[in-house]
Amino acid sequence: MSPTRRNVLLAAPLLWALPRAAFAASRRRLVVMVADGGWDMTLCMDPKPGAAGVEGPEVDEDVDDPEDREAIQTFAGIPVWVNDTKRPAVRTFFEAWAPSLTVVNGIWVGSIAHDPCRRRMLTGHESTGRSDLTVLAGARHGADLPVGSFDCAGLGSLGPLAATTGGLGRTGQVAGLLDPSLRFPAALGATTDPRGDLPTAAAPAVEAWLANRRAAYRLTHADPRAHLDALDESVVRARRLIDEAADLTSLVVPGHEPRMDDAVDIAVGLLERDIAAAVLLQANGAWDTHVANVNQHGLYDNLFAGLTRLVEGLSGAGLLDDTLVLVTSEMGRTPARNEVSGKDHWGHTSALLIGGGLPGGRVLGATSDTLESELVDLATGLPDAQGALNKYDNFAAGVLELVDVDPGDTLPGVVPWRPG
Amino acid sequence: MIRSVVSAFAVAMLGCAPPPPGDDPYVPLPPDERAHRVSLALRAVRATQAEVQAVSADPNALAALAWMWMEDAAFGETVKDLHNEQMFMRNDLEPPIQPVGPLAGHTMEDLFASTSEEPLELIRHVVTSDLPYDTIVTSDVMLADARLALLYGLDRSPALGGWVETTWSDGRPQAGILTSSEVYRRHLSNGSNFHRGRANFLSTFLLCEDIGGRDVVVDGGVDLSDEFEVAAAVGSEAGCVSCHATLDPLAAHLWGFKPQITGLAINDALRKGCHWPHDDPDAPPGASLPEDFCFPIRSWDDNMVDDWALWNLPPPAYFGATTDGLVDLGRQIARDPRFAQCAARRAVGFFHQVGWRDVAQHDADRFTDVFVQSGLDYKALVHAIVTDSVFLAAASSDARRPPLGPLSVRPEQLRRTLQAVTGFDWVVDPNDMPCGTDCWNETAMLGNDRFGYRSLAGGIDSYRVFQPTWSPTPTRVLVLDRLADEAAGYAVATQFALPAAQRTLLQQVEPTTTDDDALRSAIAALHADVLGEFLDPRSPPVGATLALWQQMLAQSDPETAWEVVIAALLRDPRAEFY
Repeated sequence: MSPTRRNVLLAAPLLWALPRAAFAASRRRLVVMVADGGWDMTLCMDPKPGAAGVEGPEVDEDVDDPEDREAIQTFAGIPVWVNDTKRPAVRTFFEAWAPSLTVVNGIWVGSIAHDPCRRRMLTGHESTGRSDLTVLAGARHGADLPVGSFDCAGLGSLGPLAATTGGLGRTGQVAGLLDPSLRFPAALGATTDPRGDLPTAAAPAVEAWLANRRAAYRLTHADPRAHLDALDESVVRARRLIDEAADLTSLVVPGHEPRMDDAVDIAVGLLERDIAAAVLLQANGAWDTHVANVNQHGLYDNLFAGLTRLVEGLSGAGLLDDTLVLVTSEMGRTPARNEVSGKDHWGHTSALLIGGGLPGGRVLGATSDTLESELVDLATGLPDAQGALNKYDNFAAGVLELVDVDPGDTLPGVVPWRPG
Repeated sequence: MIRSVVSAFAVAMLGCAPPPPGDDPYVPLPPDERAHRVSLALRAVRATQAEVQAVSADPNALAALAWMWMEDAAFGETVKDLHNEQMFMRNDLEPPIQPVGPLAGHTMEDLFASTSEEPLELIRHVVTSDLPYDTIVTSDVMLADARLALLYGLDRSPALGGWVETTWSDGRPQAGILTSSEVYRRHLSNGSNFHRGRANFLSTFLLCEDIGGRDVVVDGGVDLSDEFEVAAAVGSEAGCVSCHATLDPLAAHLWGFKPQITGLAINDALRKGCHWPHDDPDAPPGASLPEDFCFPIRSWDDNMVDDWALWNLPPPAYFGATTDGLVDLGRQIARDPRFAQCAARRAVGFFHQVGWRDVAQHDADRFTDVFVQSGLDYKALVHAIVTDSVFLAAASSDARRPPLGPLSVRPEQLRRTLQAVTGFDWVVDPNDMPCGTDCWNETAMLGNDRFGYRSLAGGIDSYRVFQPTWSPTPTRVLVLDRLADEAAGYAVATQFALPAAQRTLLQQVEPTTTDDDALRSAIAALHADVLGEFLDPRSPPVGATLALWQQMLAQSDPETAWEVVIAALLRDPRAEFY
């Protein structure tokens, strides 16, 4: 059975309108953080020292700066390039969290165009219109919450479960809907409501009138795409967002993309307060470094600073054991630099997994010295010359399994990648 | 295993099989909903009562009305919306060009509109002028407004208002959108991409051939650190050739365009006064001369046209056929059967609210036939789609071919509908925040994603969201609720400030009116004006709305009660769907 919104409702009728207490104890959660644009894994979690043709971080060292030196250091068995001048946050993160971290190298994405890669890595599908991993996990585990999943990145693919989702907006626009004090003023000479908000007392009467109108409309309109169900559900969830999430918008500055720290705090707040069961985040910055790949150093520093804040926040809230954090990028970057010192698109990527009860201190999968995905045993995630590629769909199915979502519903026939 | 494959094949064949000729399982919508659906689809307003009555009296009247509605200027906006969903031009999330230099005094919002709309305006012009649709790739003119003329130094009289025909003035060939600077400012060529991304955009948009969406399997053995070797490999390695044999010759047509001229680079260039040594490492990348980034922008360079040869890449060709430059490329695309079929597929997807890849082949085929037989008359294509029994169906006797069901009003439609009904346009001034040089002045909240709610209301942002969300979501509900409140407040305040005879809403009442007949008459008129629902003032639905008004009056004042009624109507499923 495909995980359409209607199917989810049939399986769990009106769960989204029920109290959450019964669910909280066993709730699984998922946070996906995306380095959107394509990261260069060779600068960090997939080091290739000495591999001919692979230009790692060492090519960016400033010969005149003795502090700017790259070194491969192993943290809890995980080898990582570190540079305390350019990427101090990398060391900070690995020193603290490597024992809980699983690095997955050699995920075959199979495309070198951003949108198809993004779709593949976030949904496990090549085709459009599918729900992404956070939406699927949120619908499964957040049925009783205001929303199942919350997209803080503007990257999500809602698919048939759109009515279970909430979104921050690329520049935090939802704040102006949840908190009246954060609205933009009307433009000079523009038309807007000069009378202010409608009286709060009107809401119940309007809701009752609308409920009758929707019921009458439903009687006379076939609804093969379940839009009317989605409307009913969305109305309830929207009200709950206003009631329960409005104060989170204090971290948002309307019109500006949220800073990484703020987005992380919003994500932790959403999970901690049971407003959503899954969150999609973006590691800010221009990762698509066709020009000046050297910029990836700062991007990694920012990413790991944010990741440290996220993991510490989840841990401090007692949520890390139930919350799987997945960090990935829709694609990697070519082994070598182009004529403008950038790196172009590469159809192989890596992922970091932490939390959710997953053991850490390990690297699964691998790439060759030409940075191509090696075959693995999908049952263990370990390199296996007789195995199979860990393709985007295998990996997505595996992530779904890790958060107790049956991948067979959305990725039928796909063998899930399993981390041992 | 074999059985499951056979079953899957059988299911696939069943799903894809065209229906038998003459077999139409669809039960039509009532006349009023048919009229509203077509009217909203074409011009973003509901049908008038007279138009609904005409359709009720004669079912064939709808076809004539559809032709008439396509003569409305609003249809041109729909054509642009449709093509924006395919071309992703309206991307306000990346740094726009700022109002500096000769553009000083214009607003960021206006500059964004001038640039992002340029190719869309050409397409609107082609369609609304009844030119064959392939003119979009063969036209020897482009359209520019005054701001665009300043930006590119175009020969266009500043005295002329709006968008007018002119030509690019830098010697480039003229081939409709194929030679549009703004298409290539939106769709960049990065690093060693060598215009392949642009070629793939053209192939995907114009032919529905998404070469870049195919799997990429690269065998080892290629020295990836050598760009020349990579360039050679894509023409010889088996895993590469299947894409690059078509992509690279297509991309070879585009080498005259600068790889990228972003708003950020233009802004940087202006900040530096457009004068620096050509070997300045801080010079904007990707163009041969830094001053190309200064006004008027030089996005085309005749001297770069054959630079594909420097990389040993193949010469221009079109899927194996030789071509003679961009103008010839346009002709070959126009002759390619995939061009008409792709346009039909994309138009069906837009109106049916499904992804173009998900349009059934037999639907794509039958509308392609109409399109081709009309001589690529885009209005004929759209007319066929919106007057087709599938589009107008309330129900179906064949479970395998369900009706479309309720269609969601797009944010762009909603903005225009609201303006038509209430006069309200949700425009804000985001400059209240610290914005430095990145200030936008007036911003339409339903037409913008930097500050506004277009994608949160289900639209695309052309940046990361490339397919609309046609199903309601909690955030869309929040947007529509706020919009309803704002529009209702505006409507009541402005309408009651006018003499009754000059109003478009609430003509039947004053704030002091308590007469039951007048109140019912006003409410019935609101149902008609806001929802296109023509009700008897004594009907139960009007009574229910009157009860809501009375309930609000008991708690507040008459103006507030009317505000609540209008806001409620704007939240009605008939406002949400069509």
